[in-house]
Amino acid sequence: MQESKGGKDSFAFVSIITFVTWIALTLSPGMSLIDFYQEVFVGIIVAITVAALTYKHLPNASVRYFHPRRFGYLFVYVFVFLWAMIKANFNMARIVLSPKLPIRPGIVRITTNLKPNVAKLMLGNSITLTPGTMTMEVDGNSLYIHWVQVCEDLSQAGNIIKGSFEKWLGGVFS
Amino acid sequence: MIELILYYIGLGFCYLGSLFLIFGGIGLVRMPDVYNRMQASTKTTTLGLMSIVLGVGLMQPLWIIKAIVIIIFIAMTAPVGASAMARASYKSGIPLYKGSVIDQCDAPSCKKEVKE
Repeated sequence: MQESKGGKDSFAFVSIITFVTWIALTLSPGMSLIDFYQEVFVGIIVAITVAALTYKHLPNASVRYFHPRRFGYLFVYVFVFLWAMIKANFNMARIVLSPKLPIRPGIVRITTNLKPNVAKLMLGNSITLTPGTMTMEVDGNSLYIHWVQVCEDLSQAGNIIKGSFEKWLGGVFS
Repeated sequence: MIELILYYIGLGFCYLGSLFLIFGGIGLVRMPDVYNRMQASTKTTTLGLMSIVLGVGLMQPLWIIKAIVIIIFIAMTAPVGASAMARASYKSGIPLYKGSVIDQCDAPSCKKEVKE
């Protein structure tokens, strides 16, 4: 993926994201048409202002992220993530409520082959919210994970922790 | 009719969220060290908060879009805070729980800065 350095591409990306967020926050079903036009008008002004102030700090943002294929991967990723999160919570509830407190904590190091920083951030976030693991530090392509129940075979740690997140995130940010 | 059904589904989500928050609180008390406590509190509070906000969104259908935006923001920001706090604890030299089996943290940015 060739990286654009700031410029129109990231300006457009920031404006679109800001505008969509603005509309989502202000829109309510059943509002009158004049109110709707008002929100769209103010939203455009706000989006352009915010983009003008911030696009230089986001050199890797690009409208290429709006490719439909990426949305497909993102859609699958969201459901994989939600399911992992629900599992994580029941797992945590089981650990917390069992009288013996079956924990075996430790910090393990795993590696990832995701390149963009945003992808690493998303992977770290997903790992934090999935069963028994929490990202402590990301350094280059290694992630340091605090794990409540460390498995016996450490060579499998990466696969167990990352699950299928890496595949879907790789699709989103390829 | 449909509003009443949505209302009760939303109520169910709120109760579920409160239940997860209670588990988070119990975990905070029972876990042995800072890192395990962080684990218990992060996961449960994130899902608990998300389901409470979703429940409110279902009880008041006009707020559902705002609720979803809030849920996305929570999901994106809560883990970052937890990671930052865990890393800060590690850097300031808080030891791992005695029963810990392994510590592979050797990142240069994680080097302990303990003041004697």
